[in-house]
Amino acid sequence: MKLSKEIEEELRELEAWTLLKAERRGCFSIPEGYFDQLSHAIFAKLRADETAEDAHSLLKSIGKKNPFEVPAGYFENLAEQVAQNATRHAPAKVIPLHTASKNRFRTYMAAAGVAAILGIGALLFWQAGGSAPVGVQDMVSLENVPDETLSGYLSDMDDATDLNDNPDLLFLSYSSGAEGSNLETLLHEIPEEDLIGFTSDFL
Amino acid sequence: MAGSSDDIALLQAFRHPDTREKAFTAIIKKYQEKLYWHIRRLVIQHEDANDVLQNVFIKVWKGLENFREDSQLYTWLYRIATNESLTYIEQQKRKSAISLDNEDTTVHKLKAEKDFDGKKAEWKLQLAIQQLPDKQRVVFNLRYFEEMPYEEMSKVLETSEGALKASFHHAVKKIEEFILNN
Repeated sequence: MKLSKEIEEELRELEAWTLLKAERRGCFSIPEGYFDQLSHAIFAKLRADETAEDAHSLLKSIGKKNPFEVPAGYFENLAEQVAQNATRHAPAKVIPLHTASKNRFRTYMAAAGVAAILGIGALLFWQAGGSAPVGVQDMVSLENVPDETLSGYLSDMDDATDLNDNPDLLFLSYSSGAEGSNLETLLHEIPEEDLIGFTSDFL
Repeated sequence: MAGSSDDIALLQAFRHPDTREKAFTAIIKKYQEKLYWHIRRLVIQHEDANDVLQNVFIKVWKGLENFREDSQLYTWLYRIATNESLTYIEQQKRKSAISLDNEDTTVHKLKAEKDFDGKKAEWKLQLAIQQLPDKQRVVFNLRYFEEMPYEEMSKVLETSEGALKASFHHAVKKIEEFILNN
């Protein structure tokens, strides 16, 4: 759109060359048919406003007047009536809200019963089970025998006796033969197959 | 001094209950586009411009009966439209001050426009215009796009002609600088 002479002259005085060259082209878009329906939209809004105003003035004219009636002397006698009613009736039955505590007690009792049964059963089982393997008992009793006696016993034995046939004696021979020895060190010196054979007697 | 004979006739018809709605429709049809574009250049988005424009005409409906006719109808309409637009922009600025967005509200809205292209001259000009303070932007738009004489502008904005000329000249310099630097 071309500038009018007046505006053009003003911009020349200001040396606004960019604005002089610029086309005053609109860059904003509008919905199609917008201006055709605008007057209808405005009237619709006016009518909505009028309805709201009418409702407002109607409410204003009604005011806050109470339409309900109350018997004469009602509020003066109310407190007395309430007190009378309260003493006339028996207190209402109180139903406890927390019944869960009773159920919880029963649960704990049941758990204790089961634990007792299991405990008694375990006790009976161990008592019936009883004895340890024979070899261990013997080992325990041999601990009380002095080393000199044991070594003497072993040296008196028949040379034909093959200690490898008797893992117990083989073990004893090792342990008695090493004075002041550490059993762990002894065990390291014993061949593995002998140890396996020794332990298999206990398993 | 309601202006043209058309405007005088419309005012008389408006004052008569039987012809009020017809006269008001005619006023809307006559001024809707001018007012719309004046508002749109200030608030940028169509939806906002539509809201402001409808509010303007509702105020006109309510106030036209008491219009004193000591100024032209069109001056009075532009004054209402300008005030409504500036009020709307202030409200939007207050709302956006709550958000963390630092970019000016109208610049942000301009860049969000469907056909926005910062490289095109007309969009660059709009970006430059959005850098101006609100009232200076009104002066520039009224002078540059509407070619409103300073005499009429002073009645619309209730500011002296001298102040308006100075404001327009400053606006022109800022816009030239912005376009050259960008």
